[in-house]
Amino acid sequence: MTGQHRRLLTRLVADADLIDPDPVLVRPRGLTVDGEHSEAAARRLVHLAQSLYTFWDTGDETHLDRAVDTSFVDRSAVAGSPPGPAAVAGPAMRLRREVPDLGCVLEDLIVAGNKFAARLSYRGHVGGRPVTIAAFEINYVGAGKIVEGWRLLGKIVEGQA
Amino acid sequence: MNDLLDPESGLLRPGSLTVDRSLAPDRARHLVRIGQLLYTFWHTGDPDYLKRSVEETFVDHTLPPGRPQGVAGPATASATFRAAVPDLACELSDMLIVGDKIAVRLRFTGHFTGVFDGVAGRGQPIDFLAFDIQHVGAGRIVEDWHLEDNLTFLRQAGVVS
Repeated sequence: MTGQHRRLLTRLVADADLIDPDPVLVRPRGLTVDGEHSEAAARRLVHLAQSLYTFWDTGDETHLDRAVDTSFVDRSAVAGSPPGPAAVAGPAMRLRREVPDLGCVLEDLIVAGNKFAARLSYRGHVGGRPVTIAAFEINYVGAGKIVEGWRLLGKIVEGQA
Repeated sequence: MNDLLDPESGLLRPGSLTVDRSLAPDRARHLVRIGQLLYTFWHTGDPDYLKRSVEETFVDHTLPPGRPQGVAGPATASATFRAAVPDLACELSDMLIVGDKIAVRLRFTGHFTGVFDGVAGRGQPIDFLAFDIQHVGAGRIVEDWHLEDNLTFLRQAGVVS
């Protein structure tokens, strides 16, 4: 039902065609992008989100450094959390310690202005049993990369949908 | 974006609002109003606001165990929660509206002066985050996905350590 209401898009490219096709990158399963963005701006924002969640999917910090600015602040973190990519790397490492084969599914990505909201499901195994962890985030993109974020990670639940 | 807010008295207003400006102005205003109505329901517990924002056919894709499917779900959850935290307030911290979707970051606050799961509160302060994604049909909300920081709530209420 998405898209049933007509939008006067600035660009000629449909939302799904804004996804970076690079096979190493995580692809959003659902994607809705602000119609006011130019194609270039829209592609840049979608790519940043794909890079961030590819880091969560693989643990490869190259993708994290491409997505997250050194000035990044996690607004939902406890006091004393470091700024920059380390604010994301720390929680990811802790989760990967509990779920060593952690993968990240970007279930839904919603880009509005310079913000994007993401619904995620992390998957993997604990003691040989499949587990899923739900998460939501809203991130704010500055001139280049992500500068501010709010995040909520659910509990580890047995089973995979 | 404040020109899009519904001025109806008693309606919650978002702390921050980002709206896809390629939406027709009437549709954009409608989506903002639907968001304001739903979270005014969570802020007040008044089921009239829920009826005005959610379709009869509503489906919760992240239904917690024990919660009924459909529009009865949020009604039941709100009543249960208010029995524990009668002074519950919902802050609509951030709202993103793109296409037919509404993504929000919420903050719930209050005091555990009621009863939760057979445990009587002693006035413990409650303060936790939640995220939702709502999908709006031609009129009201048809489906949603949500995540609440239940662990923080349970810790603050002293139900878990």
